Amino acid sequence: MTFMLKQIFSLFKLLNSDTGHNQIAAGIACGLILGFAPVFSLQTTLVIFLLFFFRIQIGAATVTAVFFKFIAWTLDPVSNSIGIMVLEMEVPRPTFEILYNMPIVPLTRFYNSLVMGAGVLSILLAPIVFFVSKALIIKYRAMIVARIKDTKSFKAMKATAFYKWYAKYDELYG
Amino acid sequence: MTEQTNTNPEPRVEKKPKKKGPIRLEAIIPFVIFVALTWLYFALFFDGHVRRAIEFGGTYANGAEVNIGNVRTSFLGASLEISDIQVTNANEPTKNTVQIGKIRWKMLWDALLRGKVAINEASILEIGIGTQRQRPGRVLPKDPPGTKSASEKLREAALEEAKKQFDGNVLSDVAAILGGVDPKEQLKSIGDQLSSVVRTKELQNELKKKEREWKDRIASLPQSKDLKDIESRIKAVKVDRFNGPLEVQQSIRELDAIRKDVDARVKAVDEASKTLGSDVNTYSKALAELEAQVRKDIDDIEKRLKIPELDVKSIAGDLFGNLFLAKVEQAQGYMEKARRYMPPKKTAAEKAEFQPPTPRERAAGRNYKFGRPNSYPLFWLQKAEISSKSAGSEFSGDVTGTLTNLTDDPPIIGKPTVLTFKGDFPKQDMSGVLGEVIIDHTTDQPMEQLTAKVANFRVKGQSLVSSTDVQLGFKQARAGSELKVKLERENVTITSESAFSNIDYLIDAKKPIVKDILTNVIKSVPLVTLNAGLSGTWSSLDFNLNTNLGPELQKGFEKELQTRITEARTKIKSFVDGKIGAEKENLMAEYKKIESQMKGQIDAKKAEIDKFKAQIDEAKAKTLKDSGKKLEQEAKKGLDSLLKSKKLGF
Repeated sequence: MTFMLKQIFSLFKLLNSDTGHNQIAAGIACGLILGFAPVFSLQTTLVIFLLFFFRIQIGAATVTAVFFKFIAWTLDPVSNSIGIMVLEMEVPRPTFEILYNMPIVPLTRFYNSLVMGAGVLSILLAPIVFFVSKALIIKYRAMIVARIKDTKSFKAMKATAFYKWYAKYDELYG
Repeated sequence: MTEQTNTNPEPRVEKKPKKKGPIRLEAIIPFVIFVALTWLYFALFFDGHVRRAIEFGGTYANGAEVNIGNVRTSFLGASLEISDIQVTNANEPTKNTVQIGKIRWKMLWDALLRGKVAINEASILEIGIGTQRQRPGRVLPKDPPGTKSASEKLREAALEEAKKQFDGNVLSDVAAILGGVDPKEQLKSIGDQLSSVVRTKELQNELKKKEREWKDRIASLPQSKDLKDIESRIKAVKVDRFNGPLEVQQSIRELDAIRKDVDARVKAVDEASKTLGSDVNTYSKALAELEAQVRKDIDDIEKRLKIPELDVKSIAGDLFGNLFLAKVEQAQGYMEKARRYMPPKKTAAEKAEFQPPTPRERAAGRNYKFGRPNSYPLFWLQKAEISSKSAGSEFSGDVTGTLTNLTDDPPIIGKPTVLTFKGDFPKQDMSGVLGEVIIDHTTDQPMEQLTAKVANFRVKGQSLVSSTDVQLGFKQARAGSELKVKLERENVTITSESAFSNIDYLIDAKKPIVKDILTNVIKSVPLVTLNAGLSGTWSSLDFNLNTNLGPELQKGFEKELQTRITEARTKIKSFVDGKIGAEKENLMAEYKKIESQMKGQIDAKKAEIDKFKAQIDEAKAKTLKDSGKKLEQEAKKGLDSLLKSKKLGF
């Protein structure tokens, strides 16, 4: 829980800094994949491993996973139809037969229409979400963060001893 | 000159944060810690947790404590070794049903990667049967009635009924009769409690009530005054010498009205007759049931006074019934467990009943199957070699055998579970053990079959009859036994053939005469055979027990006992007849009298009304005939006058 809270605080910090927009955007894209997955399966574990080993913003992934979970819930009928369409296609059928009878692969539950549909949808949407969120973060920083930093009240707050103390602490332990 | 001090501080050099690469290197240490902790858990705690899980699950499945000495697992080898397994006998918690020294098995990684357990190689070593426990095992309370299925309840009820059947103790009752029991005193205490006496009184009251009802009904039927009215109305109708068609029409109308009136009364009489008929039928049935009630009362009193049935079947049932029943209960218990943990294929009706769990948050989607050539059930023991040497413990034996296709989902593999074994238990003085168990749950018609034979074993302290009056049993004997059990859905067939030889009997009785007879009979029976059978369905079990001890005991006791039994039976019959005979006769006579009276009255009314019906029909016919004649005459007259006036030329 402490780890998660720390990640979420660092998301806000990163969001308001000048760097790390790629990390946040990648986190949001991973959150989309996690949120769209209807069950805990092998691909979910894989995404969690990616979050852990690559510099992807875990807080962004966690927060957006919850958000996308609701979106995915409303899109379930669409995901299900896509899954049925893919699984009933004749061309990849032999591949599916091989995968179905292979070890490990069935743990992905690819044979379920909802898992397949949501998986296809999330993989298609992930790059779009990555680039859109990256653009939005840059825009947010330019339009909102910069303006807030220019305000007198923010400057006054920055001049306080408490802020200086916080800045020092953040530099040392943040 | 004052020294100018530099008040401007040196410009602060901003520390550039070190640029971090795309890989989170700082995650390596937590990951290593996580892996190390996982490894530590598997190295230190996993085996203990598996052991406790097996003990918990096993205890729940067995209904009594299951203990595991040690569990060793190997991740890389995908193997498991369990030592010192003790399965408590739920009926005798100081003993184990079975004790196994060691089980080793090797699982398939291919199945494990699919989340299943498939064991292609297993060995079971040092098997002991009926071993003594260091401390009594914990026995779980039986399932509360609410948790049992309808078929389970039905089976239990059938066995309870069978227990009652074998509960009466013939030899104790024989001893009591031989001791000289006078039923007079006991009969006195029964008094008016006989159910046939109570029923007779009820029937008497019912008859009185019915008589009143019938009388009221007859009073509501047409009386002689009404009938006379009808008669005078019929007579008043003009049926001849009509002065024109109008008069004819008038008469027919009147006759139809009377007929309608009479029909209504006929209907009322018919209804009364019908009700009387149905009441008579109901009452006749009740009287016939009263006869059966009297017979049942006599049987009940005989049971209460413990008048024994001295036939071979009853003796065999009383001597060996409970012994055989214990085996049946055991077979039933194992069948229930096998069907619960190795469920057969569901029938169409069961499939229709089954409601799949509904997803809580998200839709479930649809699962596609792309063939299943390599699919595994959740648990599958392909083959286990059983091999045990008696050298170890006191209770182990020289046993060899195989167990194949033990699984939690037989329809998937499509093969029955088969256990075959043979061996000897020299330390328990048991030899020639041979058995085969087949559990076929691959289809929706579950079948379990057991064939077991023990060529020679020692029997010690086997009680057959144990009451305050009589003790009969085997202190020691040699025996051979064969048991065949076949359970198919709800059908049961069990046969058991046993022979006891070299018998050292235990005979004791309070009354010397009983002891003498038993000793003399048993002297002439050096070999006791028991052929027991059970067939039918669980809701209707048909037991058949035969033993050569039966006819011998019957012969031995018959001479002494038959006169006393007949005497007691005569006394009981005359007691019941005395209580109910006269009342019953009175009731029958009263019933006959009332029935004939009521029937007579209704029949008389019916006959009278029928007479009027005939009169009306006759009057109507006469009216029509007479009017027809009149019409003919008129027509002829008219034609003649026409001929005369026109003077037609032909």
